[in-house]
Amino acid sequence: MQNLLLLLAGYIFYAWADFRFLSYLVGISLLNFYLGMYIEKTTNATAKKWLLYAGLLQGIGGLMYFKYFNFFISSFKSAFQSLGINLNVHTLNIIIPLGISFFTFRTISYVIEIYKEKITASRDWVVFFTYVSFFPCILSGPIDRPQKLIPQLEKERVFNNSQATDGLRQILWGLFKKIVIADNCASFTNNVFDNFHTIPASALLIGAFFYTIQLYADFSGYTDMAIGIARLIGFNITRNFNYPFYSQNIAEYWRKWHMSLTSWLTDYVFTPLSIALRDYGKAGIIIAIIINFTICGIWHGANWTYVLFGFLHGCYFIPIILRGTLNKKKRIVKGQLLPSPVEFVNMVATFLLVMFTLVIFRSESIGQAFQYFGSMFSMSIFTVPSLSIFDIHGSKVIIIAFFIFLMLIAEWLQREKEYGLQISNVKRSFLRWGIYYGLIVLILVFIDKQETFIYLQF
Amino acid sequence: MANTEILKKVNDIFIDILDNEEINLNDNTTADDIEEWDSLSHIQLVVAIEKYFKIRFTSKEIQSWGNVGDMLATIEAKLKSA
Amino acid sequence: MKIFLKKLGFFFLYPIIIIAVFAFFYVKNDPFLDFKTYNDYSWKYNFQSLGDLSTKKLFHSSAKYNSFVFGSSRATSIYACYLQQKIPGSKFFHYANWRETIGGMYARMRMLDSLGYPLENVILYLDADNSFANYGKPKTNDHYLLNNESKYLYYYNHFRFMFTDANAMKILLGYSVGDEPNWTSDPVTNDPTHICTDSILKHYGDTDLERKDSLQIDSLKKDGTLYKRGNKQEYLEPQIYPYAEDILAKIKQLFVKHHTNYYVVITPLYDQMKFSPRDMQILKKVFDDRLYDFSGHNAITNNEYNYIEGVHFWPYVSKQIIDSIVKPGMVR
Repeated sequence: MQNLLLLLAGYIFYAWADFRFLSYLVGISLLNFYLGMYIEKTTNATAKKWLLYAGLLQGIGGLMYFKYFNFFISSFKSAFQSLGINLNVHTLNIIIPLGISFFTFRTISYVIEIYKEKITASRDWVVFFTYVSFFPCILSGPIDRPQKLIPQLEKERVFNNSQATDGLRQILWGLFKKIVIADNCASFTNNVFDNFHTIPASALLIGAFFYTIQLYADFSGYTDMAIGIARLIGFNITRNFNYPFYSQNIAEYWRKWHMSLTSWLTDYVFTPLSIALRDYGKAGIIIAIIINFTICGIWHGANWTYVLFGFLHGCYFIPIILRGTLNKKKRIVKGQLLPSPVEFVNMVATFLLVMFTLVIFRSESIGQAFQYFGSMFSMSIFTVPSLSIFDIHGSKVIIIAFFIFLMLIAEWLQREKEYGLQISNVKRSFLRWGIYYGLIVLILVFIDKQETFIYLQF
Repeated sequence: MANTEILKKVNDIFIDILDNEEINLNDNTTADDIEEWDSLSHIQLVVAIEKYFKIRFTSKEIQSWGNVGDMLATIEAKLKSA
Repeated sequence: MKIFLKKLGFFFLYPIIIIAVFAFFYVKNDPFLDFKTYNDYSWKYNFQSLGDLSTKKLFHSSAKYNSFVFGSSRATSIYACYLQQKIPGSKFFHYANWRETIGGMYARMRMLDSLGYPLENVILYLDADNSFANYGKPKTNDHYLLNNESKYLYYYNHFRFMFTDANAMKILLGYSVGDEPNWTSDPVTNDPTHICTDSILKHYGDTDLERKDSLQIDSLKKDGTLYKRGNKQEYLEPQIYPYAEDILAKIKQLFVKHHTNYYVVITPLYDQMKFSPRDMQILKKVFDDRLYDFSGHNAITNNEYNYIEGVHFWPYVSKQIIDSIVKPGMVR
């Protein structure tokens, strides 16, 4: 009964966001539900394999068609055009179903895990359909594995005071990051990226910084809200962020950024690839990593910028793999108030590496990204930029920068906790309530033009 | 080889690849228990084990392991049939 | 669950009560003139947006306007009623806004066009120091129909402003801040600073009435308000970029569509700065022979007596400009 309500809520929510593809969502839920049962029932190994392929084909095929068909056509076309041949193929007017990248990965994971005999197929269609369309996560993840979510759906949820409070708190923190930090940074970065060829290099650098923060605040803020809502209704869903900016190398960064996607790719792309290529030593690992991250990039969207983004991140691993220090994890001591100088330098270096790729990620084309870089590496890097480049009210830039600083400090101090505002250990309730009220006031004061969530488009 | 011998050899390989003297494996150890053991180092461990025991795992076998015990069982089976 | 809901209830109850009290006083006071229809939409408080007030006035007016004045505070020196005299058949609406940008001007024109107002005659005041600021984007505190934003966000922004600005709070509580403008605008033409009586029209352009005397000019020079300008003509950095270029093209499109009799004036600012040659080229290309450049070093700007302070010139300057560019027979 609880699940039925949840399922309906999910479909109403999805329909409200985009009703056109509700039937697609229901359709693939149905298809994978039966596929799962047949894969489990069949004893014939070849038949099992083909059923698995059917499931993979449906998922990947659907993604390919909706997200990448036009990309392939236009890339194909321009490739031939550069040879002087004009192909008479046309892009179609394809609309991408909302959340497709996320729920497709859930169904693919489901059939694979059944095939591997790691889980049993669900017999309850309400449970399974809810797993696919779990409403806090339907639009932008996190991507739960069936092992984690289905058992929870099969049990009855009982209201738990501290869990619900925790959920509300996390929602508040997510709202703060999204509305106060991400949306305001967005207005700054839009000004920068829309006019990048007219502003000094120093402003471009600062713009890239703001965008990196914006992406984090937007996506982790959304994730906090999703996890918080799930907590409210009694679910424990998979974590997506573990304070990635305090990572000391790129490997650690990817263990802490968009964790549900990274672990999905690791299990279903990197591991089989690295096993297949294991005879080629370090070169094999490097190739596997590069392919893995290029796919990660492409997952974000149909644009060469995303391909380059992913590819670059794969390449970032090369020094780590070659040096062999891959396995030595530099862990910052728990409870340490300040990072050591070395740790701090590593964190800044990792941040800069990521920031660099995010300029490509944000740009509309690779050409534009390189123009941005070209403008950035010029003498005007030493010009102090006027604040009005970012926002007509220069003071707003200072205020938001202050809140970014606050957020980074708060999350640093709370880095052993699940989310930045996990302050249940603060004894005085008036202190806690004071912090909550403070954040709510900030949200009310700084709410502006509503920007949609960045990851909604993926 | 007896099971404990295999365990000792595998333990040595882990210590070597993961560069951690304190590793002490048992049948129930999983990747969660050892910090340095992740997907990237996993493949290096597999290769090292294959090289040392002169055996070859299938992809399915590798992906089926849930803990060190499963790994040891597969190694033992391969050695017996060799 | 019950304890949880009770606690949650109390958590939200306290702030809701406080906000409700404030909201009550806010709606009663209605400093932005949002909630009722009024007879007078003149600029009374510093924080009100002139464009916002004018838009409300426009909607509550039944007059069939066909001519408009656009620009910043510099444009308040244009008496729309005088223009009506000069251009027979014109029914002017003065539609300027504080620190107006080209984007704001276009937003107004586009809205007027969509509501069916003919743009028969248009005077457009461009300021080299301001019209293309912030990339030319319109101000965000304008009326929601111009910004194309949600009505509720607009009301919320006004409400929020009252609590994030000290002076605004004072006014809400009934105290006077002391420097309220308390202007009275013309009920028909919406001239912001005055009601168009015969006397006003007669004295428009009377330099004796409006100038400061030499003692005042000297003291303004001394305290730096009327600072010394250099001898060489200086140019601003290029400031017209894709967004603004696009806006200019759209404005031109509207002028073509309405066969507008338009005059684009680059105002004679005290700083004597001119648009960069690149920007001038862009402006000339769009507005051609209807672009009148009064900026830079010239007889108007060289004479300190023409200025109220370093930022605004006297209304008679605008009358001189109007007289020189709006000639009978030029009406298309």
